[in-house]
Amino acid sequence: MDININNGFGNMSVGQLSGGEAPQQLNSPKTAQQAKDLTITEQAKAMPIGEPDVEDVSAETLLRDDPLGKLVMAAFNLPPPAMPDFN
Amino acid sequence: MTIEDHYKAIAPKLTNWLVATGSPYHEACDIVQNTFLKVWKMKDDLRNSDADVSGLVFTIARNMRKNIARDNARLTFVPEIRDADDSESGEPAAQSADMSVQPSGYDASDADYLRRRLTEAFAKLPPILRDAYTMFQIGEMSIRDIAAQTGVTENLVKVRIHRAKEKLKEILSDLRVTF
Repeated sequence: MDININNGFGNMSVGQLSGGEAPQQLNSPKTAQQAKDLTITEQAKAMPIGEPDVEDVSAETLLRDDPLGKLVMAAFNLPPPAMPDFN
Repeated sequence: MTIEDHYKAIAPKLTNWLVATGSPYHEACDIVQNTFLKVWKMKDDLRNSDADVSGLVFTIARNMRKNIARDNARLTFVPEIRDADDSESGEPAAQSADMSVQPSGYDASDADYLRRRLTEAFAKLPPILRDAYTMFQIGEMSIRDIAAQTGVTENLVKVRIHRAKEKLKEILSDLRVTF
């Protein structure tokens, strides 16, 4: 158990008064909560807003030769540039 | 596969993808050639790996285009400064409105007309939908490769393609094509 003593120079723990290191605060509930909050925040940032990926997408969506796809392929049929000399 | 094989397989898709997503054709051609020259320089690294050459090519091309756009932005900054100077000297500001691209009538060719309409339609899509759809349809990339390129799940890629298609059908509804 940690005992705090006010010696006129601010609060110090018994450990500090005896020359030991200050008690670690990292595992205190407050810090753990902050760490948890931070994790949740990071997860929220990584998730695109308004973009749930649970929507069912029909197999037809993934056809390239649907009418729209055919239109796109007809329009974008430009020739590539000449092959560079790779030697 | 040799670099020539990769070029034959990927260069047509990459050229068209670049044009579809806003590059002029001549610029797209330069990017395609320079991209493959860069890939060729990496051939020793690629030979002993299972690297996804298609994904690598698209990534390099996209970065090259960003660099070109950044350089162009620097160039167009100069007239803007001059415009400000002109206005301070009492001269009418240079006609910056004229610098914006105005439709000047469509070309006679159906393919040119369609290409222009589709490019305009793609430009109206949110970038994440545009990337997913154009990579899928024009780049002919797999759902898995698009997911890897864009850093999202494969299912989200499918959702984005679906939403892009719905929006494109809406934008292009005047073409009277039965979608």
